[in-house]
Amino acid sequence: MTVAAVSRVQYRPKLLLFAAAAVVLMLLALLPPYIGLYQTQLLTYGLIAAIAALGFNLLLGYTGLLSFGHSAFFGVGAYSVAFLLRDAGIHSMELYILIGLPIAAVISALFGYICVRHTRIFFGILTLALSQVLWTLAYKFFWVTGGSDGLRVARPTLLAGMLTFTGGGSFQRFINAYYYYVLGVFAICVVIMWVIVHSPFGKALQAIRDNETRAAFLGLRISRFRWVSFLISGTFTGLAGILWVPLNGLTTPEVMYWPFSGEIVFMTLLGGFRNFTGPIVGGVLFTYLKTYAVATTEYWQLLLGVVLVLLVMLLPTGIVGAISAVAGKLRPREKSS
Amino acid sequence: MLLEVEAINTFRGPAHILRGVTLGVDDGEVVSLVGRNGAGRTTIIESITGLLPVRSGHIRFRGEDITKLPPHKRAKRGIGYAPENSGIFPELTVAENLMISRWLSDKTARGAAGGVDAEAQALTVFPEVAKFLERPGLNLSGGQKKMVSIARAMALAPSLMILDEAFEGLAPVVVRRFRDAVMMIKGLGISLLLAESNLTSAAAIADRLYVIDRGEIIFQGTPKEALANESVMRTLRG
Repeated sequence: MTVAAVSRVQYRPKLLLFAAAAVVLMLLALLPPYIGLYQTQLLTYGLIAAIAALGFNLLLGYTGLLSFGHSAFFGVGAYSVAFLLRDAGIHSMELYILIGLPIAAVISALFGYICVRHTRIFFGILTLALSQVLWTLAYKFFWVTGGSDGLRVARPTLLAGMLTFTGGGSFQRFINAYYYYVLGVFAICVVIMWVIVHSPFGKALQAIRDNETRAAFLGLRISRFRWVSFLISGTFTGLAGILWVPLNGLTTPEVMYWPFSGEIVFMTLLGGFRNFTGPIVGGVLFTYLKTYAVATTEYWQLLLGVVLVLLVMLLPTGIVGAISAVAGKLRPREKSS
Repeated sequence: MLLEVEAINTFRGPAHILRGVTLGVDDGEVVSLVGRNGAGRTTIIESITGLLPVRSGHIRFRGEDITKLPPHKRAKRGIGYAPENSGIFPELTVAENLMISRWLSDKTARGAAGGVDAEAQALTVFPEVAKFLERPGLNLSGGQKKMVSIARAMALAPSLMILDEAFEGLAPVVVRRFRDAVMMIKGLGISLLLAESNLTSAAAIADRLYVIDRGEIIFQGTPKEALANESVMRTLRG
């Protein structure tokens, strides 16, 4: 047995999984004509939330660090777009991503450098505190950030200016085109994250999560790995913020406030943080859950709170985790029958 | 001398565990560290691996003072460690457990020298491991965990392997299998430091022995000398 042989075992293509992913992607691509404009818009929000949760879960599910400050990176992404539009007159979505991503990465790297030296509650509190510093800056420096009024963001051009949205029916055209744009970015993010978590780097993160001491004695520099994980995680969440703001048309300090960090945690718990697809499912479901809760009752926070309590008590591994467990129990029976 | 431990004093909290411990392992040598439970064997190993800070004294590896180095740097210098509880990552498969070490194997002295396929060597010593590469660490038996633990440490291409209680909890037939494995590892030019509570097991494979009691080395010599020493035998029997 050689290194190559072990590698083959490790990277044996999971054909069934890829086929299922392709089918889901195709279904998502076919949906808009059947579900109407509002649902298309809502699903776009869901996919953006899924990107944020996917990034967040690299830190929580794979590295074992619970951050309460990921709203900061989401907000950095959103405000980057707003500043680029207002101060540099940029209207291209691709430029927003190209410039906004490094900004989110730098802030993530800085926050990560401070936070990853600590674990457990100390890590959580540090991320919370740092994110609230950014929230305060966004809230108080109104002459820069617009304060509580926030900053408006016009509809950008897509695909290097090939798609523009002005004139009659531009909103409908934008929502439809932007859905496919976000779907494309989402698919790329899923592939990148899949490669990351199945690479030696991803396995090292899981080793650190399971037994930090043992991982150190296999030669892993724990703080460095955690820092890189934090950086990637924050950058993914920043990308979600970049994609979110043109759809929302406005960014306010609320996206940096701690309850929004809590929502990202909620999404991840809802889907399940010990598996790859959980945060994706959680991101989409949470978007629908919150939207309909807000539309149904003025006590929507109470409703979400009850759901969270039930989730922790009845489905601690999240929806996908519970489905996997049930499928796992059924599998041997199928063979024996 | 490959590893030199010179007059180290180590504490666990307020308790003074190791008192001026001195020992050494030469190139290609199998050295056993024998003592009863609580004598300080694991504390010595944790001091060498950097998991416990040493209050005074020095630890040198290939002549370099590594006393203050963190564990990951000691591993990269070529110290492989298979702990008593195996330390297998439960949610990773056996292949993934090995992959983590393999990734860093070119950074250790033996690996960097080239020509060493450390992982292939590990699987030569334990060919059984190749049969359950896809199994999660959680689903391994005790003996399989120990095999993977040793194979994983070997995949780092170490010059020195430290095995803590490698034979404990194993059936006699499996113990023989592990003894053979230790001799194969020695045959690959890797030095070994074995922490054992059973003098007979240790004496069967060691070139030299250290006996530790209450944090102090009370004997060093060949296995034959240890077995003939009434005072050592009395201490180990309790």
